[in-house]
Amino acid sequence: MTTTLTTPDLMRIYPGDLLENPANRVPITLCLDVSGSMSGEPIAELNKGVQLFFDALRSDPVANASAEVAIIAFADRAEVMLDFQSLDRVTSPPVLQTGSHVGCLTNLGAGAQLAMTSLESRKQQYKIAGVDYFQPFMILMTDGQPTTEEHLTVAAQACELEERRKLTVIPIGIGGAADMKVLAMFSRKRPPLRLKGLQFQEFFLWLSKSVVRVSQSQPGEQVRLDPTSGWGSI
Amino acid sequence: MIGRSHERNDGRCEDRWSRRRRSCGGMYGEVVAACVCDGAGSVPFGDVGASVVSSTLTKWLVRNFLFAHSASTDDIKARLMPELLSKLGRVASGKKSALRNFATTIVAVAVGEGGSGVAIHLGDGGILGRFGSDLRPICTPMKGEFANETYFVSDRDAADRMRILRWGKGGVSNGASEFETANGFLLFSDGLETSLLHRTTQEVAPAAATMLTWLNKFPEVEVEAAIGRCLNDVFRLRTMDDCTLVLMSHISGSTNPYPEPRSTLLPQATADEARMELEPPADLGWFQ
Repeated sequence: MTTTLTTPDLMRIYPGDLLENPANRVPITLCLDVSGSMSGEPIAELNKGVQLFFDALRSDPVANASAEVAIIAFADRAEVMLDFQSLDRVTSPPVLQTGSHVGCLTNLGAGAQLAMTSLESRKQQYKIAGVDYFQPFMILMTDGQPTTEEHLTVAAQACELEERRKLTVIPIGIGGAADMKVLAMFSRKRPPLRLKGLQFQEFFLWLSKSVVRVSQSQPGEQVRLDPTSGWGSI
Repeated sequence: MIGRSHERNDGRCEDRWSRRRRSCGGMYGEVVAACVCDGAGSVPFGDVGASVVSSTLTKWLVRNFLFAHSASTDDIKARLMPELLSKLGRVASGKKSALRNFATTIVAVAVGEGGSGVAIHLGDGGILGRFGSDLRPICTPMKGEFANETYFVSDRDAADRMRILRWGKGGVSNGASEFETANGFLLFSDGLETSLLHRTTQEVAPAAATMLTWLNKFPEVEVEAAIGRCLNDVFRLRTMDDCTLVLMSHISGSTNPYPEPRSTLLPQATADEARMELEPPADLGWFQ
C-alpha cells in the first residue's frame, strides 16, 4: 500500500502576495502636518522620527511582518505620500517637505479624512484577501490651528469609530501654537498630547513599541500602551 | 505544538486536547469523544483552563451522549455550562484567581456507532468532516472583526455563542443530517487555520485529507509521530500561534467505527517504509 503524499496535485497552492505573508496586520496611518510653519527644524526632526519608526518596526520580527504604515501629508490639501504595504517593500520612507505642492496652510480635516478613507480601503483589501488584522491606528500631528472647518465632521466620525472600538486615535500637538482643543475633538478616550520640544524620535520610538505590543497581542487581550510622559504632556 | 511567539515570551503552550471512549450501550454502542481547547494567551492560566475544559468536556460527552444527542440545545447548555464553569471555578478558587484568567476556546466531537454524533464549538479553532473522500468544514473559527477578538468559555455570553450540532439516528438533528455519512473528523486549534482552510474560499487544503487517511493505513504511533513532524517542520513555521491537530477516522470493516488505536509496531522494515511515506511534504498546506 502506498500513499501519494508528495504528488503536486495534492498540494494545490493558491497564489496571492498576501498569502506569502499571512501574518495578522496592524495598519497605521501617520497623518502629518507639512504646512509652512513646520519648515526648518520641525520638519527635519519629523523626518528623522519617521525613519526611526520604520527602523524600530523592522527590528522586531513580528512587527516587521505585521505593521503596514501609510503616510498622509496635509497642508492646503492632503496627499498620500506612502500607501499601505509590507515594510519589506519600503526601502525608506518618503522625505516630507514643507511648501510643496500640497500648499502651506493647515487643512487638518482633509488630512484626517484621507487617513480614515485609506484605512477603510485597506481593511476591505484585507477582508477580500482573507487576512486578519488588528485595530488600526491613526496618528494626527499638527503644529497650528486648522485653516478650514472640514475637521468638525471628520472629528465626529473619528470619535464614533473610536467609540465602537474600530480605531485608535492618537492626536499630537507640536509646539506652543498647536490648537489642542481642536485635536481633542478627534478622540474622547485619549486627550491630545503636546510634544515636548521636538522629541519626534522619542514619540516614534514609543509608537513602535505600542505597535509591537499590538502585533503580539493574544485573543481577549486589552492592549495597554506605555506611559507617554517621556515625550508628551497634556 | 508550542507557537513561536510563546516560545519567545514564556515558553508556555496554551493548547490542550483530550480524548475518551465509553460504552453507552443501546443504539449508540461505544462513544468516542475528542476535544481541543486553546487557552487565552492574554491571561495567566489559559493553559490550565484549556486542560480542565478539554478533560471535563470529553468526560461529560461520553457519559451524557444520549442526552447530548437528543436534548434541545438550550437544555444541553443549561447542563453543560455549569459543569464546565463549576470545574473551572474550583480550580480558580484553588489558585485564588478570577475565572476569566482561565479563559479558553472549545472544539469537540463525540461520535457513536451508526453515525450519530455531537459537535460543540466556541471561539476560534475548527472542525473538518470527511464525507466519503470529501473533507469540508463543519465548524469554522468564530472571530470578531479584529485578529485578537474571539470568544471564551468564561465570557458572560459564552452559552449564547456556543454552537452545538447533532446528527444521526435517534436524536435531534439540527440541520446537520448530512453528517450521518461522515467517516472522519479533524479538529484543529487556531494556529492551523491559515494552513488548513483557504483564507477567502474556506476550501480545505488537500493535504488535510491525506493526513486523515494515514489513520486507516498506519499504526497510530507512526501517525502520531508523522503529525508531530508536520506540526514542527511545516505548520508552526507559518504561524506564531500554538498548533494542535486531532484526527478521528472511521476504520472500514471494523464493527466499532472508531476502534482502539492500533499500537502494535510494524516490523522494522515496514515501519521504515511507513515513516518515509509519512514525511511531511515541503508544500504542506495552502501556501509555501
